[in-house]
Amino acid sequence: MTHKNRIEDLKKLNLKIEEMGGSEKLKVRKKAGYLNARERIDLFFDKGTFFEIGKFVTSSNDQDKDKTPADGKITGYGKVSNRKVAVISNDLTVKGASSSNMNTKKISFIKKSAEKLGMPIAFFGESSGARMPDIMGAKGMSQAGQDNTQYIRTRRAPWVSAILGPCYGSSAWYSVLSDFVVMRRGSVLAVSSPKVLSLATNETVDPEELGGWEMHSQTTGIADRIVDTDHEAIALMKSFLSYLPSNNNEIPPYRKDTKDSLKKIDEILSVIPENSKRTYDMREVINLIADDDTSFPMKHNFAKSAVTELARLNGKTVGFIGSNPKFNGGAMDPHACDKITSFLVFCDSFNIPIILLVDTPGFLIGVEGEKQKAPGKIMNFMTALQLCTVPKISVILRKSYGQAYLNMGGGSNSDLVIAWPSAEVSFISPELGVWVVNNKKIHDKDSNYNDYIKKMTHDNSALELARSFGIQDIIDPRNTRQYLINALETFEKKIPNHSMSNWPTTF
Amino acid sequence: MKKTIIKSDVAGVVNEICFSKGDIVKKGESLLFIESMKMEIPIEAPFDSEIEEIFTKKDEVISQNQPLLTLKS
Repeated sequence: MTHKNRIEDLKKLNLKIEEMGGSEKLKVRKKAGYLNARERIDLFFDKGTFFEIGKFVTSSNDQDKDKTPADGKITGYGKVSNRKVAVISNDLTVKGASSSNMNTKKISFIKKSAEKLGMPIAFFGESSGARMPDIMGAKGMSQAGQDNTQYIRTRRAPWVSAILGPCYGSSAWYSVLSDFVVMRRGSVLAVSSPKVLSLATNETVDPEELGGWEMHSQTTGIADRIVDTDHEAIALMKSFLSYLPSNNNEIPPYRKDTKDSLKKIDEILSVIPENSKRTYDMREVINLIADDDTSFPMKHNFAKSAVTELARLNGKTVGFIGSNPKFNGGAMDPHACDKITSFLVFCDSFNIPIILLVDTPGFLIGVEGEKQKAPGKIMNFMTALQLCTVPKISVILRKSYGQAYLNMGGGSNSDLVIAWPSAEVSFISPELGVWVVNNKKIHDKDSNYNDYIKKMTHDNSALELARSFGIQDIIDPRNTRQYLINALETFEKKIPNHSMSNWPTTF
Repeated sequence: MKKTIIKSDVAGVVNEICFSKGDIVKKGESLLFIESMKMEIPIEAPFDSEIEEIFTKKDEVISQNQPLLTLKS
């Protein structure tokens, strides 16, 4: 065989592999409006930057050799906005992109190299789970679990995932291990498919009910964002990465604020009702403080009494955490604690300063919360906050009560705590205090009630807090943006400790 | 036609009911307010709809997840 023939054969084989599971299957996808595994990669990376590895891997079963191009998982590297990113793209047209002993080697190679090189990984999730019959029996299982670092998440570099079809088994595992998860409506993420369930437990369940977009955006919080198309999902993954450093040894990229963001802040007074019982949307406050059009919400349909958003402030990435009075009056429940904890861990791991915007009457108390382990969740949140070594600045807008005062950075739990003149701070309300200590309510018509209330009522104003250095400054709300820009510059650190980089991604 | 039961996210006291049975409401409008944790918490219409039934009244003490009204859309 001549060199020329060999090269010709190689070219043909390359083209054959690029046909994936065949034109019929690809046509069906196209008709349904889904991109295929290679189109997703092309759309994700800067033009012409993708280079593939493991392209010639096939199933270890010889009889499947010609039916398993790239063994159903396409892997490699490329550039997004000129920064290196690794990719793992599941090809559902090849044996349902099922996980095999061969394609697992490719994934392992990508993960280890990306970690060593400090490169983010993007996962395009669409897989049926473990490959059968290959995994069956003792011999099959003996091939599994050969990489004892397979599911360790160290957060040295960011991971982003898109759920773009059925995601069972490893495809689900990598999604939940990621820092950002976008889900296309109609996709499903679950431990196993409804088909497996129907026989294993006799449970008949609709895929949407088992692990659809509503479940993961509203109930579990696994999906940060929901979209309708593959294109939107890929655009969001790229946008998310634009806020992040390539790895935890770098600071996030700077992107100049091209708009006159300072102008809009004057509107802030009209957003906040003067009556402190009335609610407003903290997301509007973030929009007014941050650079124009830069807020990027995380888990935004989950546990809405807390807001977690990436944004830029004078061109630099920051993580906003807020209680949101619009939902439950800003009283945070256990899910809200989880949402904030995971955001704190994420920001600290990738050198993103944190700004806490506080307006909360306290944690939401009640039987429901206790069933969901409220004390544990509040302490996870508190531990994460105290372990954070990125700059933390708290702004008390109105209410800050009880333990939530500490969780939202009160005392020394932020590098700097400032307040608006509308701030009010205490442990609980005087009425509750009298009920706890004196066992009296207003309806009891006790002649001493007013005296009890008087004794329990202490000055809870911003000024009183500032007098005792409980806060470091009181500011005009309209100065919030400029104050935070200056404060972050002052409290900027080099690389923080990353004490939480091994914190579980779901808890 | 879809019927949706709106439940309370919080335990508290019904402070104000803003509409009556048969009224048409727009997405995002406050249907009623619940006073809880020293806040007046609005319960908003999740979509454009008609109020089919109201199960509560002003000053009623309600628990978390208690059905408040049914919307028809």
